[in-house]
Amino acid sequence: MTDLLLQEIILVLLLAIFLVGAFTMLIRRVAVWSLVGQIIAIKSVVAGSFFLASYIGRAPGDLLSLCLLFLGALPTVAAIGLLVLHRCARFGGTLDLEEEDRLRG
Amino acid sequence: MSELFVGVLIFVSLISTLVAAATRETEKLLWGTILCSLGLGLSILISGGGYFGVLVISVFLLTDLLLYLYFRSLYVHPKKKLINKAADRMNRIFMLWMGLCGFIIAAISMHEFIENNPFSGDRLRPVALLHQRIWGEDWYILSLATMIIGLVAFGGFFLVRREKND
Repeated sequence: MTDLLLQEIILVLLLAIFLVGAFTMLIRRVAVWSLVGQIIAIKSVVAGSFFLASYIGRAPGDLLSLCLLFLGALPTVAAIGLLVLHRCARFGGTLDLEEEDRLRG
Repeated sequence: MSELFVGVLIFVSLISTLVAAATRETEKLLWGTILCSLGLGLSILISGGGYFGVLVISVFLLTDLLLYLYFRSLYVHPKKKLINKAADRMNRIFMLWMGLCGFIIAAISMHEFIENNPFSGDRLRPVALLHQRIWGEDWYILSLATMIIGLVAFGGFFLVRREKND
């Protein structure tokens, strides 16, 4: 298997991880899984930007800047997201969005 | 050969991500995200990430630790009742503090203090590019702002959260 083909496969796999995270964020009705989807998507952007910077010759520094920026953003996004979830307090122990809908009624 | 190994690691990360996204159990979610973090971080490390790969693994695992601490605060996982709320709070703060210290120490020691370190960034092209682009003087200001935002988020999580009453 050639190196170029392997690099393409790696980038496609990282794109797949990003898509899984994005769909989890949009489709799952439980709030924590939505946050987990965001976290997964950001992780894939970090890894993807690093590998893209390694593979291409042009402007790798900008991609590495993107990598570092998202790496710094990851724990902050997670902490803020968990803080919002916890402050809502209406999720109790079930972490279920359907319970939230009933409370609005 | 290393590219193939990187591909395998990322494939394992993808499977773990699918498990974490599709499961209904918090334990499987936690293990899925941890394996995803380890897979992606190790792939960066093997691909010439140097100490940056160590930093990536640490930050990813720190984020997963945040998730675990959140589940603990809700008694979702593990499902044990608290004996002492203050002691449990201190335990959570301590775990988070150890995680932060661990990744800072690991990254700094890998980069500077160990001679002939195979993970030393300057000999590896991607991290050498990182040094050229990132570690300029203007990025010190940006990293300071990022750290302040991070501290506010972490501090806010522990200051304003309320204990779940049984």
